[in-house]
Amino acid sequence: MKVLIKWLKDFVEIKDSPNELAEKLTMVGLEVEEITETKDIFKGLIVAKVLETSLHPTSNKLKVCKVFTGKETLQIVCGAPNVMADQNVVLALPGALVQGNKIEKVTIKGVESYGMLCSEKELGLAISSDGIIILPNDLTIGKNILEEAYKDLDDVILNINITPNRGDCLSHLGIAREISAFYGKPLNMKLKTPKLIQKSKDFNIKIENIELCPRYTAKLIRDIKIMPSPDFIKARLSLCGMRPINNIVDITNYIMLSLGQPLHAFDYDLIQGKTIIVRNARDGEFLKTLDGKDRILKETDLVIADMSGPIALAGVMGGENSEVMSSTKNILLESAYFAPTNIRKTARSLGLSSEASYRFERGVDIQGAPLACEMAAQMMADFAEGKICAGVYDAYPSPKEQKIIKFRLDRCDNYLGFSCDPKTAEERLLALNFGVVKKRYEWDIIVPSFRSDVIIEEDIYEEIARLGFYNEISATLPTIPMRSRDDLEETRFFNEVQNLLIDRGAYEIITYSFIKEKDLLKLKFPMQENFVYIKNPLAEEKTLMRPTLLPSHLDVAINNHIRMNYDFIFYEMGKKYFVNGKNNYAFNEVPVLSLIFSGFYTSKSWYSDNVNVDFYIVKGFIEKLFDKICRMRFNVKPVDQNEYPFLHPVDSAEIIIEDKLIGYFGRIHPHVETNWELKRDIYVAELDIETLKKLYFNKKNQYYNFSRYPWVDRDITVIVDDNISYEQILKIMLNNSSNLLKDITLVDIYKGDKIGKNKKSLTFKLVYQAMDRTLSDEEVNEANSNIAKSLQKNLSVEFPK
Amino acid sequence: MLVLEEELDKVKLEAQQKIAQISSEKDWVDVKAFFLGKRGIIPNLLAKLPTLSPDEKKQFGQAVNSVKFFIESLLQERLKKIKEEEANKKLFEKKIDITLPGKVMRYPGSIHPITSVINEIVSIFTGMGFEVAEGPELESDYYNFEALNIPPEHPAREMQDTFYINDNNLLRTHTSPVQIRVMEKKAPPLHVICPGKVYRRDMDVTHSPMFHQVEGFVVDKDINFGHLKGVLTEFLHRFYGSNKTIRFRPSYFPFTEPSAEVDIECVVCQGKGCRVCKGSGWLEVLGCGMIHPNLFSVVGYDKEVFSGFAFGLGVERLTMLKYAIDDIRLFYEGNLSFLEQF
Repeated sequence: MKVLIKWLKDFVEIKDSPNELAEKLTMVGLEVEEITETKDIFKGLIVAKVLETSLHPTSNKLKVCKVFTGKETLQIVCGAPNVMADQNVVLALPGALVQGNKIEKVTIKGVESYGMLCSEKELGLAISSDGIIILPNDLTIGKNILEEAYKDLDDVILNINITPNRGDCLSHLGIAREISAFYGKPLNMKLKTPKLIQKSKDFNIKIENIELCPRYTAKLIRDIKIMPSPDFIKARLSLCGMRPINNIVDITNYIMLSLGQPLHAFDYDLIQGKTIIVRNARDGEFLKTLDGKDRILKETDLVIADMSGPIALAGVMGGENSEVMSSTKNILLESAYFAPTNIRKTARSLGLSSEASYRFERGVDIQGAPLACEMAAQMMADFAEGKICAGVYDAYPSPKEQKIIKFRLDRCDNYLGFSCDPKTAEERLLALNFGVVKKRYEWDIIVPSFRSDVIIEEDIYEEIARLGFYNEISATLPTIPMRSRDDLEETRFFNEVQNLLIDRGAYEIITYSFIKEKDLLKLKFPMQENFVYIKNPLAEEKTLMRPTLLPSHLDVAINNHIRMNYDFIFYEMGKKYFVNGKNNYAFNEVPVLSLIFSGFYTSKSWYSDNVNVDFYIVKGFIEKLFDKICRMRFNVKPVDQNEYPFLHPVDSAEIIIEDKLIGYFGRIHPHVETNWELKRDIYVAELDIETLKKLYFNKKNQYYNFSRYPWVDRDITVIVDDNISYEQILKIMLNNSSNLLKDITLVDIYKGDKIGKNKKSLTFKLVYQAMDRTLSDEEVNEANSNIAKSLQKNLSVEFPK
Repeated sequence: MLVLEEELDKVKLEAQQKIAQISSEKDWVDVKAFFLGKRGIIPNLLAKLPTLSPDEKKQFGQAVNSVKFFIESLLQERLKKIKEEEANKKLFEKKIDITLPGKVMRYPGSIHPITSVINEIVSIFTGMGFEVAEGPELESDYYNFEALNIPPEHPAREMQDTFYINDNNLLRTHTSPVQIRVMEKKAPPLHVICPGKVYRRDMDVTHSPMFHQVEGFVVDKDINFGHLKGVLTEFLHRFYGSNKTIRFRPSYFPFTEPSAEVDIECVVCQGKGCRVCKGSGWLEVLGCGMIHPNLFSVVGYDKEVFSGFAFGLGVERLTMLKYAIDDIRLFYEGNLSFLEQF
């Protein structure tokens, strides 16, 4: 919210500089986000004199003016109909900002123009202007307009971030009250609550729902004259970010910015039956609001109605059918209190927020309504030639009781961690307009009517603490007892997995947890009923919490390919999301480790050649990971195309450990690669983190005895049918080996004409070693030939000649 | 005799000189032959023995033998040295460029800056004795708002634009629900931090619809606002360095009372005022406060017995400040050129 320092000074004495004031406001909880001197806004806007005007050579709407700036004469092209010689005008010099646009030397239809003559609209002082501003003749030419013509615009604007609890600070009075509290200076409130009347011969007011509208005050102002507001009103509204419209509307806004009470001015003559009814709307009832939109109302919306129907959306916006217009003669002024919750409900359901609803939602001062009504009426008398009668009509069927909170100073001390002496505590509360009644063991604190945020004892503690800027409370560390710490084990698991991954060259990525539904279609991902859709996504498209990390990762891959980063391994430890069970109210969040491989695993350099990522590189990557995490090997199974339509049917596998499926890896299906326009083959892997974690915690890391005698190796080369798997061969070798066999390594695979079609040749290196002796050649040869024989017997392998 | 002895001394001297001059194995063989070979000097001298008297024979024989041993040992020494020199010379025949890049079969990757900042935050707090807890990202309205003293139609809901799944469920807008979940399950004393993903309907250079928070809270007997200041000051000094000035200023959160916003002296301009801190010299880094008694009512703690504080850190903001990153979207694009830098 923007407040003006001069306006604040109407209420309280301020000696500090704007910066010092801002610092203190920030430290009591009213964070000043920006300090703007209006001199900076109106820089380069000066009083100038038009010396002569002539017609533009090619345009009959434009005039070419010679304008004197006090120093020099400039040529200015101006389109305003009212520009004439010998007038004092507002000139924006090159470099000045007018409504956010920088003025520069321009050429308009062939004629150079060294600035711009301004209208009230361009200075933000009117919503529309017929021509440029004509200033009085007695001003000093060349001076900035803040010094000569618009002294009311010379001010300092504080932009304050008002937290939602401090509805009472959404006005100059509210901020001034806080300033008065921390400076210990009295508040200048010259006006007293006016005389309240319960009857009026001119109108009737009926409140049908006193819960939503506990108080409604009103006043009739007759014979007003609609005209522009005086300069000080226009200037202050404009600097606070509101557009001046006409004197009546401006005065209601002025009082709102001044006192925090939103007001509404009805055209009295348009109120049917001269009766105001505050009631709930009937379902489907209709109102055209002042912003020109047709609103269909619900029963929960509160309206101000006359005998014919709604004329305003209570506390949110007026209706066009009772709008103040240039022809308006008599005003019925409303100053009411509406229940915050309901205002917010209405504003939100209609998508309609106004300065008024913003304040009502945050709670206005119910005791301030009559005063605001009276002050606005006075101003209408002063600036709109209105006639007012004494008193404010007040409908307040059940006046709100004073709120009293029990307060214990010793508890306050213990809670805040500093010892506040009773006198200081009392002084601070009194300065903030609280009442203090001291009893023997505790105090009764009477909460002022405007502080609807103060409800419990702890709220009072905050009041005392914040007036000391929280500075008196010294920082101390609490004592934390020792205890059993399972959580650290989890942290260790994650750290270890991450370190393994990055050590093997993977980069961690983090991608959004939600994806578009169309990306799943692009992936050919099998659709399921238990996906979690977002009701109100950022974009219009159907968006869901991801059931797979793949689309996000393929996006990352293509974004890198586009930037010519082709070779990478990325991983993410993220979650997949599913609806759990039949209802839509329980969810499964499944953490997975997802990997994506692209391009070369090893690239060409002076000591190595390019090696493309392939099935076996990815498999090896995962094998190593398993070895480190749990010292276990996994089994693989071919993937089922129906379950994994996004994977290459051959270059892919499921990962099984202890008969449990824990993930998959493989190449992305070429169709999917095309859909993403990927420039390299992409391999992916997904592993279930919960299972990995279990395996990690069950890891048995025990020492085994090893031999200190020499080892011997022998090769076995077999030629087999192509469809016999490595694992089949390996199993037979292991089943027929003696305990001398220590290790088997596949050292070569050959396919080719030499051995015939559909055949392959595999060469294994077998390592033999005994625990207790050096092996003899005979022993080794025997063990090796036993293995060879068993292969021949079980798989009918051939041996090369 | 005297003549012979003189001759022996001459031989010794000559041997010393010749052997010192040997520069190759071939030379060495020649020199060895010159002194010890069949027709060498020593055998020649020994050949004179028969002409001498038995006494002289013994004396002269011993003298010649000692010279022979002397020469042999000199020769052995020399040979060892020559071999060493030759081996050494051979080593130098090989030429390499020690400035060539080293052979790395695969460079290590990196942990995402967000994760490493979370790890750093977690380790600072676990070091102080805090436990780590986690909670679901798909939350109910109850845990995300109502239990945290944010009833429906509360203006504070506007501070957090929410993604909804249905009328009752949403993507959590902060990690604070974990507070309630932990308090429901456990009794004080509690010292807990909860890192995690959170979601808000917001997207620009500094806002992301998904980001990370670390929530922390302490509940025990006699916990006061001074403890809150102490713990957070300790954290910020560990994270940003102990020379940084910190200030606590009053603010508002529905789930804490009193509440505070914590500012740290701008890490870019050291408090002088710059673009990053918008000229104020301060950077807002976290929100905190004493846990609102209404939360204790929700979980059934007695507010007259227990008190506590809570705080929430925006991880992206801390990370952006730490590495001078100016666009939050960089975190989620997965661009290798970005990731390689960490």
